[in-house]
Amino acid sequence: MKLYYSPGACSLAPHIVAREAGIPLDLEKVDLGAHKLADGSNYYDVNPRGYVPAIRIKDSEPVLTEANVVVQYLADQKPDSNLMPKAGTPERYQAQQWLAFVATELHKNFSWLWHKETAAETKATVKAKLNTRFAELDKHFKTNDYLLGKTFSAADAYAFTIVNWVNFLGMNLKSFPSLQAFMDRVAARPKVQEALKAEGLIAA
Amino acid sequence: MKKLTLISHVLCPYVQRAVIALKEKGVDFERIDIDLTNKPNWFLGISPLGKVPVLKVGDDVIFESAVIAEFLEDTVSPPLHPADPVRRADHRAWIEFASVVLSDIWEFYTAVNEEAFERKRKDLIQRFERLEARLQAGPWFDCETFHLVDASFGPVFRYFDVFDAIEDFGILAGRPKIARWRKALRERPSVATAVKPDYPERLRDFIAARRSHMAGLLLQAA
Repeated sequence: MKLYYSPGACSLAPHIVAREAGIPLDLEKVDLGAHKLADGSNYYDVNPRGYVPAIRIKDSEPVLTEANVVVQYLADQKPDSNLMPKAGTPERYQAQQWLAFVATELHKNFSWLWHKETAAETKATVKAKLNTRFAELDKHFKTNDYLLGKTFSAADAYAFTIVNWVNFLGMNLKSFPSLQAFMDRVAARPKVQEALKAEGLIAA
Repeated sequence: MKKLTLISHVLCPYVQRAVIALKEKGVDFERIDIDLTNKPNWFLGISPLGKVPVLKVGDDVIFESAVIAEFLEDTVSPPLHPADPVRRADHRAWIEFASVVLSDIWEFYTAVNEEAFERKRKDLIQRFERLEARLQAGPWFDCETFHLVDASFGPVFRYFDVFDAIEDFGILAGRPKIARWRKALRERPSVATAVKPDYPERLRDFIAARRSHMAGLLLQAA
């Protein structure tokens, strides 16, 4: 299986999940600015939307995209890893609720902060909204190690990846110590360390 | 001449100046790229500031890129500075200018928030406005002959080849003399081969691994 990724982008979430699940991946780096692969070929031919992540499951089929879906696909390949609860259970919907929350309330809000067309007022509004969401997460992590409680799940990999972007914006989590503790907890996991090293985000 | 060894780093712009000067003078040298995040002891032993480039001349060691360039100028022909003292001083001053631009570029792509990023972007616009006014007929800084001052701007424009693929930051736009000079530098063999072909990818990875506004732009670009 091949994962199309860019260092530190949301493709880090499926990358972490694959390592936690013990699924070997071929990592293919995408130059998101030029939309090119290392061999110079056009990434739009892989994913017409031009973004990461995308996974190639079978050569004959289109890639699977959208981080919150890709992580579920990977987790479901290794049910014993418990990275996603069993389909149809109440716990599964809880996990999907968190994945959707990360995708829409965090991930997509963050994206506006990097568009030069976004007005300064809009950026301030978006930052305020993100801080509201961080406050909710901070409260959650006061009494829970992970989003689903005691166990690490694919939702945590996604949340970790996206919340990490505060570091690219001169924002910080000083006001949210329990959320920061969650970030540190996830970062310390051996498989997460492996993924960060493989993407060149920390020294190998 | 004694054996020359240039201690280098794959991304360092100051190393590139020395490499370009060596190539322009047709000097044989060995290049050793080191990991600056994990500097080997033998390197720390010979580099007083712990910086690259360092030029080993037999058993002697020369550090600081400007001094290395001057040493090559003193010892190997053809000269890359003009003969006239006033023109030579002018070239040296513009090499200093190139160093300031390199430092602006560093602060630009490592700026940790949008405000600092925007501030440096504006600084860079001003620098290139001055440079555009200084340039003459071309193709080189001083018309027909390639000089050391040209070598010092090769690495400057190389950054923009990578930046341009991320976004148009409007820094070099609308400056025809700079555009022409930039193209001539990109095509000059000594400049083109002063880095390895994977330089753009390595620079992008270096940016992505930093916690900066530009790194954010890089991971969002799609």
